[in-house]
This record gives sequence, C-alpha cells and structure tokens, in this order.
Amino acid sequence: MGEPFAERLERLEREAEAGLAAASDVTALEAWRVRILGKSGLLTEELKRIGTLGADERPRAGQLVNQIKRRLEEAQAARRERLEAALQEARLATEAVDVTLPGRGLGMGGLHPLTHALRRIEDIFAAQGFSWTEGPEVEDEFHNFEALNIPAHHPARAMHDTFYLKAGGLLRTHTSTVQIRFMETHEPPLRIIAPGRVYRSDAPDPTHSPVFHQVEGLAVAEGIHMGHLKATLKAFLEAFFERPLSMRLRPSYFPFTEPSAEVDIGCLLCGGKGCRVCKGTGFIEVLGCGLVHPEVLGRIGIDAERFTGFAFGMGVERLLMLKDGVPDVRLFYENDLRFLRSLR
Amino acid sequence: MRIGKKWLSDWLDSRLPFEALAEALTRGGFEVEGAGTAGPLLPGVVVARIAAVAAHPNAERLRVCEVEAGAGGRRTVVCGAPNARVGLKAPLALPGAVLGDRAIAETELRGVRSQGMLCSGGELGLPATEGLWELPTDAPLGATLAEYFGFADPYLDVAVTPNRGDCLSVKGMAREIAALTGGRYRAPRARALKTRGGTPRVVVKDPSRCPRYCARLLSGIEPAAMSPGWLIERLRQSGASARHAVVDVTNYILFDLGQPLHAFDAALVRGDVVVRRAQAGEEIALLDGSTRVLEAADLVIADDEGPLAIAGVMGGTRAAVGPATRSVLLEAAYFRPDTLSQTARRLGLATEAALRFERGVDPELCGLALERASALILKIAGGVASPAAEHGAPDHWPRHEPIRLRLERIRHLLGVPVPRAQVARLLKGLGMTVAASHGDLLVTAPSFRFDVRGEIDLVEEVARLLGYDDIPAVELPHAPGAVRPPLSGLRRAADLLVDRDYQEAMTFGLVDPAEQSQLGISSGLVLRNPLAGPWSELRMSLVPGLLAAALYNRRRQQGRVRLFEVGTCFEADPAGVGVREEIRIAGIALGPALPEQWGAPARPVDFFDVKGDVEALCALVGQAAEARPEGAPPFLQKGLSAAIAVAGETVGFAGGLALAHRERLGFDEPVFVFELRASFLRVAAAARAAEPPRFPSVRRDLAVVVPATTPAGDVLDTVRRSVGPLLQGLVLFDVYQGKGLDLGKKSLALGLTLQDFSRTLTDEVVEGLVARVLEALATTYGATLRQ
Repeated sequence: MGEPFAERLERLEREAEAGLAAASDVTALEAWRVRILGKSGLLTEELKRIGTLGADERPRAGQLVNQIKRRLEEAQAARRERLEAALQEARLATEAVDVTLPGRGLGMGGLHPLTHALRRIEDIFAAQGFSWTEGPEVEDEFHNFEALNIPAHHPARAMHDTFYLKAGGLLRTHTSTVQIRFMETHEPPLRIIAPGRVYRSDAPDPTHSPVFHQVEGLAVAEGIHMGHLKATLKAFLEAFFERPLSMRLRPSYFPFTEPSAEVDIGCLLCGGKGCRVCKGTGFIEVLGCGLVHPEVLGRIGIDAERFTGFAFGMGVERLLMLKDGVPDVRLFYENDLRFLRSLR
Repeated sequence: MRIGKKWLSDWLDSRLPFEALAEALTRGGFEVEGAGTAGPLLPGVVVARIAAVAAHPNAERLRVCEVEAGAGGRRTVVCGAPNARVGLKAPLALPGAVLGDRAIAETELRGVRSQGMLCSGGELGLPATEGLWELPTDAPLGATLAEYFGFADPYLDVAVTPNRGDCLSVKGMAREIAALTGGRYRAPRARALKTRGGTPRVVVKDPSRCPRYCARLLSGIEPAAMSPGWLIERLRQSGASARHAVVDVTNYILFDLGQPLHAFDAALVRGDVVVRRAQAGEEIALLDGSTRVLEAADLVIADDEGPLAIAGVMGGTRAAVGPATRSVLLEAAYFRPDTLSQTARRLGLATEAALRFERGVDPELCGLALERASALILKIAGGVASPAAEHGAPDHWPRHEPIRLRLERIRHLLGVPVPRAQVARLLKGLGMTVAASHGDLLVTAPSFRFDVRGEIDLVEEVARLLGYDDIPAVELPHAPGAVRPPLSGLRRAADLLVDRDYQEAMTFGLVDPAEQSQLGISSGLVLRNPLAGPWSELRMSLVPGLLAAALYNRRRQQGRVRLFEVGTCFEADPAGVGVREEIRIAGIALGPALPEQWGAPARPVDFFDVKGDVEALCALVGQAAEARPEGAPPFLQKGLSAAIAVAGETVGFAGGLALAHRERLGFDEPVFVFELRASFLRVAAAARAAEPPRFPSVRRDLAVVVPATTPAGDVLDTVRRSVGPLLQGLVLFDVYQGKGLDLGKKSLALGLTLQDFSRTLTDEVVEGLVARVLEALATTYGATLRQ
C-alpha cells in the first residue's frame, strides 16, 4: 500500500496549494481545478479510493478528504476572485484616458445680443398680457405719419429723418405704425407689443445707426390711465435691468400721445450721483410714452370717450447698450464674432 | 435754446436760484441738454485802444502800436494784424495772461519790445475774426473782456419740443418758467416812437397766408454804426454773429422776443412792397449765396421788379442791408405756419425765422416787436422812424375758441382727481382764461399757444404743471394670456442653428445695389434719399449681408466663420402694394467643418455639412429637405448648389458661392450658404403618434453599382417606391468610386430597415422585397449588385 493514506493526503494538499499559488491566470487556475478537483482529479481519485480502506478507517479518511476538498475549493474561489479582479483591472487600465484632454465635437453658436434682448422684452410683456404682433417695414405716409397726427408739413416730421423709396413708400421711422395697423383690425380691449426694425437717415456714429430696433407697446381698454402706464413701465424696466430702479416720467412731446413723456431711470452706473454716462444728471433716458391721443383713436373709429390707452416705444439697442455696457451702436451690425461671442 | 441768467432776468423776477432751474425745466417738459458759463474768463485780457501805429524798423509785416488800456499808461505792442489802426479798440492780453496753452510775456520781437499781445477772436478761444477783434466803441478801456461781455454769466441749453414754438425766445422761456416755478413774468412793453412822414406802401395780396404785416421806414441811419457789446455778446450766445447794426437788432429781437423780423434797404426797393404768391419758375438770389426757383405755393415779399425775400424764410440779395444802407424798411409779420414750412422744407432752408414761423409765432407780437426793434436801431444808429403800416386780416388769425374741460376727464386720464381750484390756478398761470360752465371749466388759450386746441391739450397741461411724479402708479388689471408670435417656430429654428454652432448676425436691411446686382439679385427697391455709403437698396436676400460679415471676420483672423441671420427681405411687387416682405433664415459657413481640436481630422466645411443643417431645420417641422440640382440662384456654383424644396414647394437654396464671386470678394476658400423662407416653418407635417412596433425589424444592406452620374437621391426614391410601406428606414452609408469598379461607375451602400407592424417578416418576404429593389434599380439605372 506504500505511503499511509493520511500522509499522502497531506502531501497532496501541500502540492495542490503550491500549484494554486503558481496559477497566474484564469486558464491555469481552471487547469489546476480540473487536475485536483475535477471529475477524475487527484482529490476525487482519493475519495474514490476510500472504499478500499478498512471499515474503521473509512469515516476518518472520508472526513479528511472532505476537509481538504473544502479548503482547496475555498482557496480556489479566493484565488479565482483575485485573478479575475486583476484581469478586470488590467482591462480597465487599457481603457483609461487622460480626462484632462479637451472634449471634442462641434462648438456652440450663439444668438445675437439683440435677439436675446428682444426675446426678453417679449417674454416680460407676455407675462403682463401683451400679445406679440408685427407690421411691414416698408410703409405708407398714412401709417407712419398721418394716422399718428403728423400731417405733411408738421414740424415733428423733422424729428424723423425718413428714407423714401424711389418707387413710392417709405421705410418706417418707428414701430408706432403697428399701433395703427393693429387697431384697424382689432377692437379694444387690446394689449400688444410690436418689435421690429426701423430706419432713419442718420449717418452711423457711436450713438446713431440708420437701422435699429424698436419695441412698440399699446394698451387700449376702458379705464386705462397714466397710472397704469407708470406701473407697467416700471415693472418692465426692473425686470429688464434685473434690479430695483428709480424711474421718472418727464413731460415731452409726441404728436400721437398726450400727455406724452420721456422715461428716465436712475443712472445704472453711478446710481444717481451723476457721472459721465448720465452727463451728471443722475438719470438716463430709456423710452418715450404717453396716453394715446384721442384723435388717433377717433381716426381709426375707436370711441375715444369710452376707450383710453397708453403707448410706448423703446430703442432696443439703447436699452442693451445701457444694460451690457456696449459702447458703440455700430457694434451690433458689424457682426464681429469677438463682440457677438462676448454677449451670448 | 440757450438761456443766459442775466438775459432771462430782463423778463423774469424769480427767487429760484438759477442752478435749481434745470430741474424745474426738466420736470416741466424742457430737457436741459447742457449748462455752462457764457465765455472764457480770460484773466489779463483787457479792452485796449490803439493810440498810435508806426512801422516796425526791422520787419515789413509787423507794426509797432502804442496802446492805452486804462490805468498804467501807454504800452508798446508789436502786432502783425492788417486792421491795426489808430482809434481801434481791441482785446489786449497783458503779460501773465494765458491763452489756451500759450503764456503771454513781455518779449522782444525783432529788436522791439512788446508788452502784451493784441488779439483776434480766435486767439481768445472765441469766434474767429479777421485780424484783430474790433470791439465796440462803448467798451471801457482797461476793463477785462470777461467783465465787459459778462462771460461769467451762467446759461442753460434747453430743448424745446416742436409743439412749443412760443418758447423759442428768452421772453417766451421767461413766461413759461414763471408758470412752472411761480416767478413773476414781466411782459415786454414798447414806448411809442416819435414818427415822421408817411407809412411805407404795402400791399398784401394773400391775407390768408399773411394775416398780419407791419412795416415801417427808418431813414437817416448811420451806416458805420456798431452794435454795443452786450448785444454782440447776446447774439454770440444765441449762435449768431454780429454783422450790421440793423441786422444785429433784427436777429436780437428774434432771440429775445421770438418774432422774426426782416430789414430791406429801402433805397433798393422799387415801388410798393407786395406780399404775394410766387410765380412758378420765378427765381430769387438769396443771402446764403444760392439762387432758388420758386413755386406758386411759395409766399414772397416782392417789389415792382420781383421777389425781395421768401416770406419768413430768407431774404434776397437785391435789397439786402449793407455797408451803404442809410434807410431800411423793417418788416414784422405773421405768416401761416403750414405754407411756410412747406416752402422751407422743400428748399432745405432751416433758418431761425422759418423754425419759429412753422411752429407758430404769436400774431399779436408783430407790432410790439417792430416798435422795440425800431427803438433799438434808432438808439444805435440814429435816424428817424416813419409811422408803421399795418395790414391785418384777423379773420385769418389762428382762432382760440373756449375749450370745455371736464374735471372728470382729468381724473379719468390721469387716474387721480385734481380739485377745480387747482386746475384753474395752474391754467391761469399759463396765461389762459378760465371760466366756470355747468360744472366744467371753459378755458381759452392765449394767442401764442398754437398747441392748445382741445380738451386733451389742457389735460396734458394740468398733468405737466402738477408734475408727473404726483400721478400714482397703478398696476394694470390682469388680462388673459398673451398670444405668441405666429412664427414662434423661428425661435426654435434660431436655437437649432445656435446648437449647430452658428453665431447669429444682424446686418442692415439696406445694402449696396452694386453688390446685389453683381450677385444677380436686384430688388429694384432703391432709396430716393440714401445716405452716403453703400446702403441704398433694400436687400432681396440675406446673403449679401452675410457675405460681408463673413469677410469682415475672415480679415480679422477668424479662420472658422459660421453665421446665420433671420430677417426681412424685400422684393418689388408691382401687382400688390408695391413691396413684398418676407422673413428668411440664412446661414454662411466657411473654414474648417469642426473647431480646431485633437483626435478629429481637420477638413474644410462642405456642401453636405450645410445641407445637413438645412435638413435639420426642415426636420423641425417634420419635413424632408428635397435638394434639386436646378433652380439655385446665379451666385451659387453650378453642380455645387441646389434649390431646396419642402413638401414639393421651393423654399430656398443651399450651396457653394460661385468661384467668380469668391475671387471677386476676396475669399480664399470655399464658402457655403443657405437661405430658406421662414414660411416653410408653417408647413409642419401633421404629427401622429406612432406605436412602437411589436415585431422585430429586419435590416438588409445592399451595395449597388450605378453610373457615376446617377443622382443618389433618385436611387433612394426608387428604393422607397419599390419597397413601399414596409420600408421603415433607409440610409445611404457609403459612396465609393475607384479601384475595383469600372470607370464611370460608383457604388452606393444602402441600408434598408424593413418592418411589418402586424407580423414578423419572414425571410421569404424579405428576399422578395430585396429582389424587387434590385430589379427596379437594374431596370432604371442598369444597377448591379456589387460583388
């Protein structure tokens, strides 16, 4: 019989443990498992051999073999786990990147600063119930002037340096034209804003552009008065400039509103103390407004005794120049990418 | 309007400090645009008189003057001015004075000691004079120039709105300030002049346009008389310069009282003075040196020989007052605002007189102004006055009927009630007469208020005097939700292009007609009165503006330019209202397709990048962009451009700028553009919910070889048609030409996704469909399956 059973088993376990330690990858481990623990593996063979032992030896030998088998199986599982973890790690290492490298793909464009401002104005007024509308840029004398109380030889025409087309018609000098067009087809009560391009024959300089944007506002209903105008504009200006503002209405003159006013806000730069931006006055002019002139309403066929309304008009470039510190109106139309990107 | 403190005090007693006036004016509707003091203080510059003039021993052009300047005896001053002569009074800068950055010191000029400098106007930082500034004879020797002229006097520059012609004078402003601030206005008066002789003969032929005309003769005046310093200074403050005593006085009265006057040299007037309409084609040589052709609507002052002046606008040269004038015919008139402004505007003559007449000059002011002007002329230049001729047609004067003002209307419009007594007090302060009538007020405006015609004008006056600050802000009542823009899809479209790495641009709607015509897209809508510069035609396309913007950036080291614009384009439309306006959305791309980066091969942007952007835009409304090889505009390169159609209708184009234009404009690389009518956003395909299929789909890839000239789009269409509704997806994933293929052939790799929503597709069905596709392609294009 040679070597006693117990000693042989101890040797087998020692050799098996050494073999397990030497298995450096999952394949080697599997080969080891087949050789030791497999169906015809060394340990399985020993188990089979128990039958050949004496009846008194059998229980102890069986116990011994099973103990060794359990130990080796546990060691094998632990070894497998370690080897698989190492394998996983090695694979992950090949997939690792330098996460500090810049990302790839398309860049990101941007909206024009004026579009941002126009959307903002539209949204602020939409929240106050003002609907969006628009009108043509090529206009007739009636809608640009006469309907707005500016007859042919009125001195106020000098305030509008108008471009005329050879073929007839003119480029609207203000979006107030849309007031008329809207009221021609809609009955009060109404609340609208009308954003759009307007044209004046002013040579371009830091504060003038022959093309610029205005937003016109109009509210006509029973019982509208100056107080409503003030509250509406204050709410708008504070929302637009994103801060509490002091606002004052200063009497002025527009032929199509009466009473008329220019709206000043406390200087955004110096807060009212007086500086270069406000020319020392502490105030900056931001828009023009007034109550719709009863003759304007009457001409369109709206009963000016029953309905009253207010209107306002603002230059979008000017508002944005004040808000974002744009130094020169021409920047808006030069389309220098370096400028456009700075305000997107 | 410039208002000097001292001048204002001629007509106004006010306890309000001058400094507080700016605020009061601003709140009263008169924007203060500037403030300052009348002139430079000029320490050490005094009034001097030249007592003797001698030639300079060593310099032909210089002279040695002995001057007196009050205390301190005579001084020697070397002077080069040609008008240096004995008796002349001129400014003298004493040693120590500083003129600008020039310090005056006692010095030696070519061997002769010079103790100061005699000055011209320009050397003092004041309006330039030819040679030495010839000061009025009343200037006191030794007084500083600033004292004499009152340069320390503060002033305000006030903007007067076009409705307030009555405030275009110091007197008018004084009256308004009194109403705004509670000061006392002293109305101007005139003492009756001693007159001699008969009235000048005046015939007013058009009393409706000239409802009042006053004139008188002033004879025996001293031609060399010089206006006094105070008058010259007030003219200077008003922006006018001194010329001739008579003209100076007429200008002064205009600024002082607001009444434009005109003086003719009476000796040069032939026959009666006639106020009449011009004869069409009649010419007049004007004081500004121009000759104008008149129209029948123009009003002129004429004599037997023709027009002497354009009424209320500008005088002619024929009877102009000059150095030899010894008698003048002085005119003060009221001309109707509308006729006058028509003439002034047509002729482009924005004179001080026209400015006032077209805004309305008080018809009751003529007589007073004539008297005050006459008295002042006689005082300065001597002479005698004739009685004034007076032609009035009060029927044609502007009427000021009583206006009914309802207190309830004030409350209704301002949102606050204003007590009756306060309303009456405020309006009376403006010179209005106020009476009670059945619970309302009856208000009559004074003759100088051309802007007060109805109740609303009175409401405005009440609000203005009350102060807009006293009107409480009240929130608008809640209104139902607002309506979004009809093309709100445009917002989404713009956002999409931003996400696809385009920067939005805005270009002028006005472009260079030469550039549009070069591109072959003239809108034909040209300005009648363009500015200098390339902006004289309405744009027909956004492309010219984008090209210019791209070029601008390309020249500023921007290698990759991708811009888009949303804007109105114009087209002549003789059938309709004359112009068709259309909002379009356009883009331009040049330079690398991707921003410079690692790991992605750099390649220039190409047609398919831009086409992809166009397809994405169309996908916003669930539509495919169909590219048609024909029909792109002429500035795009043939074979590299397409008309874009959506739902069968052409909506725009995409493609590469033609080589000739690239070279002409200076682009050194391909430039791609697209432009779509925004209206395509309205043709959204109706969206319908699709249930996810419950059965698997089948993908089959086919590489078919077709002639290289076969449009891929046609092949795809054929595939779609031959498969029918089972085709759920179709991609073209490769195009190959070259090795392994016959010359003139290309291979298109197509991926077909087949899907039956009601059953699992069997191999048999799939193979049948593939065979059908191959057969259709073979028949139509001679296509073969690539081996």
